[in-house]
Amino acid sequence: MEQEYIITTESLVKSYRLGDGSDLTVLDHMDLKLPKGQLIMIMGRSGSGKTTLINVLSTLDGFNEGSIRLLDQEYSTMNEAAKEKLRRYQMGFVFQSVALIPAMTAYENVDFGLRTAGVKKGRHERIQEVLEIVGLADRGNHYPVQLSGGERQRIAIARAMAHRPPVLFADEPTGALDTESGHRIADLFLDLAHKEGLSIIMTTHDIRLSEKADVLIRL
Amino acid sequence: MIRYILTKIKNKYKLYLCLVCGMVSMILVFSMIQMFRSGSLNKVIQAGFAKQNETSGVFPANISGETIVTELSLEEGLEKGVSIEDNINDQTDSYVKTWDSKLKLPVISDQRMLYYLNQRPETPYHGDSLVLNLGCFDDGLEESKTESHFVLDAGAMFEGDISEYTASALEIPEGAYPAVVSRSTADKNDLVIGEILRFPLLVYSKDPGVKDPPVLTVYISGIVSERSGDYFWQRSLAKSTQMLILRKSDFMQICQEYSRPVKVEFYQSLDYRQITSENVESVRASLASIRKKDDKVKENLTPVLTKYKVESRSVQQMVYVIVLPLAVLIITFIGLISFRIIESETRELQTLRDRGLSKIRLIETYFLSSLLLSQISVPIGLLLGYWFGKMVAGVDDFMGFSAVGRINVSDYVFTPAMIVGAEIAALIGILINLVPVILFFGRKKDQRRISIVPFWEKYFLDVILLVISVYLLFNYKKQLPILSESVMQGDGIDPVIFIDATLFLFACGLMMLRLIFYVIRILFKIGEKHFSAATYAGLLQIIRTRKSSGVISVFMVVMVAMSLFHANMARTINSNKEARLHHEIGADMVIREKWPITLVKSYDDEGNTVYNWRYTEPDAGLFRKFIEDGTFSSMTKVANDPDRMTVQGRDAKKKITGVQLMGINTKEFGLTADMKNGLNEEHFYTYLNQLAAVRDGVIISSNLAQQLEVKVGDQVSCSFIPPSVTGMKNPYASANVKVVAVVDAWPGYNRYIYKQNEEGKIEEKEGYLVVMNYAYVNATYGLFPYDIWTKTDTAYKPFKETLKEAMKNASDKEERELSELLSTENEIAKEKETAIIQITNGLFTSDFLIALMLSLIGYMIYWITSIRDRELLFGICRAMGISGKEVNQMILMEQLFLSFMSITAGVGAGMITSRFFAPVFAAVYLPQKHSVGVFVTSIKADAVRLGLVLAVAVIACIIWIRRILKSLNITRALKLGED
Repeated sequence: MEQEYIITTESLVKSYRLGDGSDLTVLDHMDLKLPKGQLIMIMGRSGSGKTTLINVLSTLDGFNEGSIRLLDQEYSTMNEAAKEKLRRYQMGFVFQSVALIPAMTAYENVDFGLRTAGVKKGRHERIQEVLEIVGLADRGNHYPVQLSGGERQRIAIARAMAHRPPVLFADEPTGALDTESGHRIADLFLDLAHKEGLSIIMTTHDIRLSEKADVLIRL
Repeated sequence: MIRYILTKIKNKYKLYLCLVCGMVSMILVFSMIQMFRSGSLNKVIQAGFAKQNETSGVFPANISGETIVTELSLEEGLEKGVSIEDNINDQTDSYVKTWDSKLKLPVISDQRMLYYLNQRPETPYHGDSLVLNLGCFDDGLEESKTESHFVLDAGAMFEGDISEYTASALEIPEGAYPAVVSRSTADKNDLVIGEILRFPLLVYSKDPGVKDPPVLTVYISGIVSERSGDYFWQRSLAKSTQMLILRKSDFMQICQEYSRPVKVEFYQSLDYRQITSENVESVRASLASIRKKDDKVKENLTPVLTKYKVESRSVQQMVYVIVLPLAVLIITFIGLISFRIIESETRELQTLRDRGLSKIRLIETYFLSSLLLSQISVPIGLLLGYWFGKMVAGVDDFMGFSAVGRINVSDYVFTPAMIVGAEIAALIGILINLVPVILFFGRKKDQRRISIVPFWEKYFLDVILLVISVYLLFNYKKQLPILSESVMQGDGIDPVIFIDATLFLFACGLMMLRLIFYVIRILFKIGEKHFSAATYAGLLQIIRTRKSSGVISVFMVVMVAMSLFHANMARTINSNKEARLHHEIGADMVIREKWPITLVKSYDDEGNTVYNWRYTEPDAGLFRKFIEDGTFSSMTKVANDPDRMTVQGRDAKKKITGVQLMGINTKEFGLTADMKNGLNEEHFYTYLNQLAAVRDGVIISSNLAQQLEVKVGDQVSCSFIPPSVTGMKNPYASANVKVVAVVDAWPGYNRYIYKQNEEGKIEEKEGYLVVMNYAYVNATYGLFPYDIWTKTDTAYKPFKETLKEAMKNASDKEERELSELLSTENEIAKEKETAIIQITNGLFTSDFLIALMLSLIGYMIYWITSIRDRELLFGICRAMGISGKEVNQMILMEQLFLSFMSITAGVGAGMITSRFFAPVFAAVYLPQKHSVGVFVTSIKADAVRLGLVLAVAVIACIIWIRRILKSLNITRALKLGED
């Protein structure tokens, strides 16, 4: 069976203009083919361009040359509104800084994610389902401040995947967590990729986590 | 450490600038109230003296004493080489210097009277029947000016030719001393110019052994009177009916030759303008001590100062209680900013703690930064307090800045108490600033308990405060008559009234906020399932963050409520006072002229003295020219007598005396008089028409109708007694008149009369009124003085001068004299300059402006810091695909809901408080009952003005926030969040 790719890049170039006027090229003619339904890890030292790559892939940042396609959608032809739409409906995000809304409970945070993606029906069932998946079905009424770092990150994952996006981006999702929590998150990602068919692209600098990746990209 | 503090301040300069704003505001208010306190107290003191002057007709700050310088002491002095003059001066000065050293008040005039008491002269005409005092006057301030205080009416001032005043050639005996006398002395003792008086009973003591000792001889050289308006004459010359006034040098010579005890009376006028709130107590105590030491000392300052002591209590209480809500508001503001600072420095504080810095050391840095900022704020706050205080003291209404410059604010000066006030404010500021950091260190690290309900909502503080304030309000309402009476008697204002209003205001505001939150929660519950992500997040943010946003909400609510309440109260007090003055005067201007009265004495059949009298009517044509030149748009004669009418109904036993009579020309009266609508059942033109239709008709006041049990159509008998100058009490004219209307109120008539009784207490009395046609009054009761009522918009002061000039140039034979010129405009202007009104208008206005400024700063800083704090969150929302527009909508909704809620709650609380507390405040400010009942004035413009300012703030905030959001870089926000 032919391998399906969630994202493909061709000759992707991303450079930054430095203060002295010179250009720093972070991604230099990068060709990537990221398979669907797998846990893809981008690994590298600090400053190697992990976050730049994931930001470019997730449309949070632009690029200078080349092309990126999410399924059959080409980024370079999209305006900002189209990119917003893409992020809203077809992507999920998990960040290193636990980005839950403090005024909302775990349940409401997930609900917020669903509403953002325009899901109108069956929200309650889906919320229960994803909370179950991340193992926090009993913590729905808790506020972020009442949860541990790992639990908060799992709620963030639940929110990111609740609307069933084809791809989930996670930038250093375990960066602020202890080793054990980090591994539990990585296992969860692996499960989600294999059982839910979700394509997960995450960055990490933890070599031990990289062992769990289906695809490992070293920068 | 200083460098660390400065860096910290520099990095968060916006927040620290706000903190400085709060501290400056607090210092401004604390120093300004000191200026208001002392300025108002000074006003009360000066008003007391002015009133005393007005009622008694004498200079209100006199002190007098007397002493007797014995002949023995004079002789002993002479033996020691002390001249008689120096001896007398020394003994007198010992008193005066004591006064001077104790009272420390400049002396305006120093009148001294030195004389031999009760001397019996011999004259060719009177024999030895006269008893006279022989002496001189002396100006204690400048002896050489003594003679300048006299006006020579006839003869010569000691020296000069008086032959034209004597029937035959006058031969003045050798060695005779010239003397002048007052007209009263001359009249009482039948003394004439040129009369020679010998004093044989005075013993020539200079040389006891001499044969045929010379007899002291004095001749009258002139008749004198006192110079008009001269402060020297504290003891009027007219009262010295026995005094032969010699030159001082002559009297000293006499004292050397004829040894007698010299009585010295000395009268000083003190410059009461120098009595201020700072030295008033010392002056009062000194006067008491002077009087205690010498019971012959008399002074008229103590009654004024005693009254001041009572009034000052009310004034001070009022100053403090009016600014109380504002002080609470400023403290809240400083607390709000301080908490924000700590929130923004939480991470930094934790890092410093982790690096081993002790809590005490960290608190010390905050203490030092507060100290630094507070001391920077002190001079700024003081200067602003002085400037702002002067400005708001000059307003004549709530926000009535157009009067600044016209209202006298000279009593509002810089005082040392302002510095004390400023430092107290700075200290409070420092303490408030330290609270959040102390609480921060006292907080448990792992605090996972969630509390989204503000403490006041959780513990039902609003309900508790409301119950307490309503209970107090209920009690005050029950005691309104007692309260009014106590204010009238000068017993001071109960400050709890103001505190209760503040409590009620807070409680109402909080309660409204609670109710609005409930409504939002209900709305959320209803629409929860259908809300978009932005609406859902926005509403949840409002509901769940009301504990932190609650502070700014409460702040806004109280500010709006307080501003509206203060605006309404100030407007109510001002408009009620104005309406009462309008009603009492009756027209724009009322001219009262002195009418000459001729009394002819005769005897009745029983031999009792009776008088016939005749008033001479001044030519009213004088006033017509003011109509012609457009000064008056209308005028009318109103024969207005306050109390000479007696009215009797059908029941002869029921008789009311002391009734006010008004004789009017109905048409002119209607065109000229002012009458507020709604005081009677019908418009007052209806009653005028009814009176015009019946020649012998009468309009009577409703209380008179009630007392006499008469109604429209009944006959009443009205008898009029002669003018008080005749001393006759029996009516001289009586008429049966028909009641055509019964009224509750009438221009120029107030149903309630307040007079001070002998015990000094204010007593309320009913005033009664009858109004008749002018022609009928003239025909029935004869001519008696009428007032000229005018409708005009001419200014009082220049018109008074014009009127006086016109009277001076009038062709009437008799000299015309203005008795009184009442002007509504002038009376209102005077009222505006009273201490209480100046405090009310000034402090209410300043409260409003400061609260508004702080609210704007507080509101903007809350939003800006709140947005900055949530930058990461917005970055995540944007990353999740929420458009910038939706984020804007989310913030806008949150902002509008909170500001709209707060403003609505504030308006509601302000209106409810005004409605409930107006009668209680009226008891304080308008304690006297009046025909014009208390009405609440609420001007929509105030609410609109407030709304506009807040709308501008909200819009400015929205623009600012949009700018922040527009510049929001998603990846940078996420990066910042991670950092």
